[in-house]
Amino acid sequence: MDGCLLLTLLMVPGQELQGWISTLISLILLIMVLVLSFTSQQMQVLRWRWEIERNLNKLETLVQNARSMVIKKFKERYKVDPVGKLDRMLEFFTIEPVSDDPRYVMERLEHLLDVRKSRFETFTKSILPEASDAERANAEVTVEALIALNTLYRVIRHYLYLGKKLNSMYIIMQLHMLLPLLMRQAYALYNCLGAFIDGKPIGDGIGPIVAAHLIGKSKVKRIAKDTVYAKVKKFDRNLFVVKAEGPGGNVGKLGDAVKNLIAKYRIDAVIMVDAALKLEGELSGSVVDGVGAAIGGPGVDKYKIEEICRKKKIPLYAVIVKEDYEEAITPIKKEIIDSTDEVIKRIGEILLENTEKDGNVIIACAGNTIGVGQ
Amino acid sequence: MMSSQLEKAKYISLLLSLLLILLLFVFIFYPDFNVKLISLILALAIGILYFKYEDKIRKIISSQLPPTLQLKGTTIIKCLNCSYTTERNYIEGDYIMKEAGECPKCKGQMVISKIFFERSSK
Repeated sequence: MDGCLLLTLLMVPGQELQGWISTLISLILLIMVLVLSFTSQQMQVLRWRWEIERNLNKLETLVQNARSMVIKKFKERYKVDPVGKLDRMLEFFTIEPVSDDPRYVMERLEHLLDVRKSRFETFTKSILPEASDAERANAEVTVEALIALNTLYRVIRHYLYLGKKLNSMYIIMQLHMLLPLLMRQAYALYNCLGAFIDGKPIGDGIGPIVAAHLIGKSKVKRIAKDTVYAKVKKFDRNLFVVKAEGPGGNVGKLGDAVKNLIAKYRIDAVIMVDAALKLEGELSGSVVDGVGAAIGGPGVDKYKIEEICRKKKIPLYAVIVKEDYEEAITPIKKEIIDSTDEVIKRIGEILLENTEKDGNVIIACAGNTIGVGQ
Repeated sequence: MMSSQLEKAKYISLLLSLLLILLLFVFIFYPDFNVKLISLILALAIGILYFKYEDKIRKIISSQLPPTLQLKGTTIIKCLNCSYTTERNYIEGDYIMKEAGECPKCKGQMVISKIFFERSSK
């Protein structure tokens, strides 16, 4: 009965009712303004959270797609089912050595990295028993990229959940601020998987590509684990060109190689070639030279090269090719590979300006040699 | 993510938003009070329904990924003797310094000297 009355009043309203409703709407608006002025910060956090959640969903899809892609490729190519073992490896970790006491920290780090490498080798051998060494090396870097992508997803999820749990604006805010960079990294990791599985050369491989061009037809010898060198006569100097052994995905042990060559020959200079991260606004594939050990990674090889050059007072020069993070880990672009000739020209200039004729010089080319033979 | 699902979600969101805006416009500008009132109630109902299911719609839309990287690979083959160069599409299994047959000019050894990839998004 009351409902019918209300409906009748609404359908045939008088001026009194209109006034009431207008007052009610004004009151609602006033309350809304008051509520908004006190809760705007929470609403901002909510908006950030939604944005993070949306990207986390994308990241989850990326990880699932990447995992499925790797499993599918392994199944198709090698007729194996890696699901169980691969899932076990997805949360693989390496604990960094304690650095409170810095004695032998590099040696301890190297030891752990060696153990890690051997663990990965055993893993790829167990899932791909029929594959060649190069294919296994490619599978190793593929699984490493997959682990990195999965770790990124788990870390973002952790901070989002922590922020929600503690209701902390600052955790959410920091995560939101870093989100574009993290997502860029995630897409780069996702896009590099295909290249790694197929063994395509990547942007980071510009160092080994330069080495391969310098070596040409010369005979190569092994100088350290997964690392080769060739003696080449060029620019009226004896060049000892060092690179990781390809064409499988591999970075070699350039530190040991340089150390062994210095122990074996009288070396006048060391020139390092590597890809380096460019600053925004700089051209990809531009070549720059300087001094120092141009080599990335956890620092073991860099430390060894710096240390041996310091001990023997050998000058250490560097030539770098600029590229961004995505370019470094995805299949190589034309503008980057086209810089090869410019790098060789720059090496020649450094040699002519800083070394004597017939001098012995090490050209250590750092980077992942996937898709680059010798 | 099914593209049809995504299209549906986008279409529903757009339709509901337009309806909501239309009803609010009617509420503000239409002279008849009854129509105004009904429009307001309808707009509120649509708004509540929209926000109730918004998380589901958002979840469907949010899992859309950016276009995947499509690559067109080119392999450049060079003779180690006479520097004769030829170009072809990248074939799986190609790698730099891989032997690539005999040079048609000098019968010297040809190797893959460069491989590069052009990008396009799909």
